[in-house]
Amino acid sequence: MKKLNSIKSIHEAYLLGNTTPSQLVQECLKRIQDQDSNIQSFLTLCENEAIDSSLQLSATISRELLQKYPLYGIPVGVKDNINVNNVEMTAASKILQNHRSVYDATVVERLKKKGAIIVGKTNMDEFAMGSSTEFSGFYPTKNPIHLDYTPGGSSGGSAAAVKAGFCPIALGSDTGGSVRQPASFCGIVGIRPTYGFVSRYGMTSFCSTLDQIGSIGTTVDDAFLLLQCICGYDENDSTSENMEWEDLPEVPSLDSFGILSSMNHLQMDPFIEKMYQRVVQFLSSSYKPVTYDLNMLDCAMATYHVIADSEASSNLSRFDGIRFGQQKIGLSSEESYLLARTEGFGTEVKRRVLLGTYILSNEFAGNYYKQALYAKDLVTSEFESIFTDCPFLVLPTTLKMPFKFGERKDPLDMYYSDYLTIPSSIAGLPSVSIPIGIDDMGFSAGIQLIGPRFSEKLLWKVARTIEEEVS
Amino acid sequence: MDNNNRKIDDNALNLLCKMANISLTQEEKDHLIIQLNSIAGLFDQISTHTTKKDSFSRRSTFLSDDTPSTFSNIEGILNNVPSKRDSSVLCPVMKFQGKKNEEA
Repeated sequence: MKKLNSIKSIHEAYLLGNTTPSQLVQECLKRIQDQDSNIQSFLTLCENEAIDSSLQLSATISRELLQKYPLYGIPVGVKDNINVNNVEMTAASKILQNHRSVYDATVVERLKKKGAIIVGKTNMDEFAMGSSTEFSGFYPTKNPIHLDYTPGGSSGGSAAAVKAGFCPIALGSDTGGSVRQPASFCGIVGIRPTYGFVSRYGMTSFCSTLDQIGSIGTTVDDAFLLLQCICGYDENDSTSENMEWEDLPEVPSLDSFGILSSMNHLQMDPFIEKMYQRVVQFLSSSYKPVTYDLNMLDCAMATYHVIADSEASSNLSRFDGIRFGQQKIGLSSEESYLLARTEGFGTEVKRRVLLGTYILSNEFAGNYYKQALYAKDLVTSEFESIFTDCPFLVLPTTLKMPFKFGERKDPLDMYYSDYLTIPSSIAGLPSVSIPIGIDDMGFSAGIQLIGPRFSEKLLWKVARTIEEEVS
Repeated sequence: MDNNNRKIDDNALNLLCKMANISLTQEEKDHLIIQLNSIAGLFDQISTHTTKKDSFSRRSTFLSDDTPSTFSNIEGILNNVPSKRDSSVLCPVMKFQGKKNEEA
């Protein structure tokens, strides 16, 4: 069974009559059934819905429809913190086990309107808190390149499903790097869009100030095409920006790009360093490299965790075993809440909820949250200053290559996985991670491009050039 | 308020657990106290980058120093009337549409 890896190759096969949406979906589902018991990238499969949709799309397929609907007959994986109507949604938490969505998230609604076929819900770290998918409440996802390595996280299920060829594209969510880091670990492309460019209506909130839905694909074009299909204003999301894809600024003429000066102390993996230099060297042949300092880099991670954990403790207070998911019966309502949350939440979620409670309680932590909001402003200002005379920045996605299961036992070690993805998340900037090179183990290094707000078209152009010339 | 010297001990963790509606075994508590203090120690890095002198200056003056026109619809917002201004230049709260989102 031949893998159809890109949207373009699938649409060409449809046009030539080599396959149909129905045949493709059957092949995808079979591949998942045969191989996903090892990788464990999916939590729920939407077999009946996917087959029904694919039969309808097969019956009406035409050249015109394929041109009109860019995702016509394309199988898509959806991270399990995004609602798909009438499908189980757990955010990989036992507290939400058996909870069925009663509506489509805006992004899912838009995917369906563009002809996409949702094949299933992908595994993740519980409530998107983690960087390895080891903290799923159900089972860990394995990296398809080497099964004893993690796929990164928290969107590890989406990245692994795409890498394994179960679906050519998938949705993830990125709060501090949860799309880009797993994309990097699995050797594929991941995009975090500008904050407010993609609606979060129907996504389970973890940290509302930073959460964004992002796209994952095997190629730069596929990941951006997926983003193009889900972006735009949504009146159901109060943080949604009044910006459509067509309204994005056109790509300016590029004469320079930015690199960071202060990375020597970060003990970057030699292979990542080598691939990073290769990209910088390639870009330098066309544009002038300009070096910048990001003084707030060192405190960005602390800033992120203060904001994220505080908001997580607040956002997750709604999960009490009464309104959603697993119900536990105690002698009083307080005891019922206690039982549901104690048994329903996993280790990492408890750790972050308790830290968030600590941060927000004046008695213990005073003004951490206010300081973090101020630091967030400073990070944003630094990026704004850089982008006044430089169109985009290049830096590695991660400092280290993929790690094995259980290798990072200390939570702080795990948190450092997102060291280079957090700053742009804090500033609400778009960023794309693309795979560069392949090491002896078969892993690629992830290199990310970061641009000013709403510079997605520019990032697409540069990422595509790097993919064609360097990857 | 100074953030230093606010260590999480057994009593503090008990109170946090009560506030968060989470129960832990003593073994879990002992383990968590070490981890939480280690992570919380990281938070003090922020204050070294946000000096006392200018701390909060940008955020605290954000409302007062902004141009009056940006906040011209403040009464409308308070009454849940959607702003008709270009959203891309406004802070997120300016775009509140008064829609309820009660689902998970």
